[in-house]
Amino acid sequence: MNEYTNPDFEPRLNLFNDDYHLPDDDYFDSDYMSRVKKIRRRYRNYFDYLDAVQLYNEYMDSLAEKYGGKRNLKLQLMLNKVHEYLPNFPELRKIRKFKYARKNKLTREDVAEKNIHFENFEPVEIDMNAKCKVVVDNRSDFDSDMMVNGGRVNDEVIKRIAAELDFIDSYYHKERIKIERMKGGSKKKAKLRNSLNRKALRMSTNYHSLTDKIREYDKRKKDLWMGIVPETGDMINYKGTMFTLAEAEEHNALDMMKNFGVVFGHLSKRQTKLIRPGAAKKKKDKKLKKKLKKRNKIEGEFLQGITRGEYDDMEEFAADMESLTGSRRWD
Amino acid sequence: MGIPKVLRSRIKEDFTQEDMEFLQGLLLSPMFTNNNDKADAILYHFRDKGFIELAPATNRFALLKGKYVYKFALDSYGVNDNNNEFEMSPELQPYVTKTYECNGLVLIAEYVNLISKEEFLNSSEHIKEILRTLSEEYIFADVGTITKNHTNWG
Repeated sequence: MNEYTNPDFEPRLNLFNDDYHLPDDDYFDSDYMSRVKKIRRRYRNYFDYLDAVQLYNEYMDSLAEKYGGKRNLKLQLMLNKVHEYLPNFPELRKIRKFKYARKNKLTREDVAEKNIHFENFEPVEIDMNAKCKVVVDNRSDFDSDMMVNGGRVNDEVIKRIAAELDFIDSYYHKERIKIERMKGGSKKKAKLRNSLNRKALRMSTNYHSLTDKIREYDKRKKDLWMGIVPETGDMINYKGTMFTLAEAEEHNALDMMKNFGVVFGHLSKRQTKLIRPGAAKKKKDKKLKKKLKKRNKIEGEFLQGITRGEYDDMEEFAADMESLTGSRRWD
Repeated sequence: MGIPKVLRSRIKEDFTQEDMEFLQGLLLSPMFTNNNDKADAILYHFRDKGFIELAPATNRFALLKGKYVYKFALDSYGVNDNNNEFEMSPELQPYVTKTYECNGLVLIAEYVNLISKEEFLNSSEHIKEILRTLSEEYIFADVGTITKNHTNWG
């Protein structure tokens, strides 16, 4: 505490009955601090861990409030200006049943309700054969088709969805077989067998990875849209007007954005470049051409000045200069 | 929360006699032609004391430490502003920020998050209600509901 000799510097105080005038040590009471100081780094009991996490979050929140928000607290921590006690972050012993409990965010009440005993607890295995729910994304291509048909799904759309699901089904069929094979024998052996199976699978001619399948599907989808796959420079008919493929793609992207409610006015050069992949390259070519033109001009002026108009080409002049010898100089 | 027997003064904790003399010298010094230079000098002088720059205003300079705002007077008008704010704060609760400590050169107040422009426009009715209550006894400026005043509300 500093003392001032000049009485003008003496501060005046307003009291609002809050924690402003309290010393930092009194901010948390001693019982609470003793509980905070008991937070361990690792826990063996799931419920002790839950309590510790709750206490930790509570303490850190109040500390953040004291320092004027989480952002300020982080800043003060980085500057080593926080003098309060900082507890360890509680961790749970990495056991399978604890992992499951933490993943599913099981609370004390959940465990009591479902009558789960952690002593002989086994996590529920996920059934691979269970039927999955198919959700069609609103932003998919099918959306526009549905809009054309007044929101009613026609046969063609259902066929396309079925085609989309075919390859996923075939891929997971193979995966299921592998998992069933893994079940027998020790874990190590099963792992080895699995890796061997994968190698064998990759070597076989019929094997297609999921990535390949997705690529193939994307290509097929493009074919469906355009009819054929044109080259980049080809002119195509898009909504009754002839465009290059790049331009048509640009128009299509803008139309799609319109469907989602995003309407662009005038597009800047940068925005156009993002949509049309060829635009950036063109500018680069133009720059190179300009650079070459400038270089040729400088070379030409230099040649004219040196040779007084005898040479037109710099290379010719350079070749002659290289073959120039002492004997010829006085010819 | 009860009132402690010995009141804590953050001004006395954070500023020495030399610091106070520096701040007083800054007010009277002919070396500085404008208040922006004075604000820079304050920022440089207190660089190791954990202050975070908030915003320089016309006559005062605001820095943040912990959850409190420290307002430094840059000229005689700033000293008057500090004193006025300190005196008026308890009377105008809960409509204004709490001002805890002041010696004219420095004032310590509660930190409040700034309101966004959209929030300001949406709550214009509520603001008018507050102003109506205050206008019965006080005259004030720069706190109306036009958009440029949104920085004075939190």
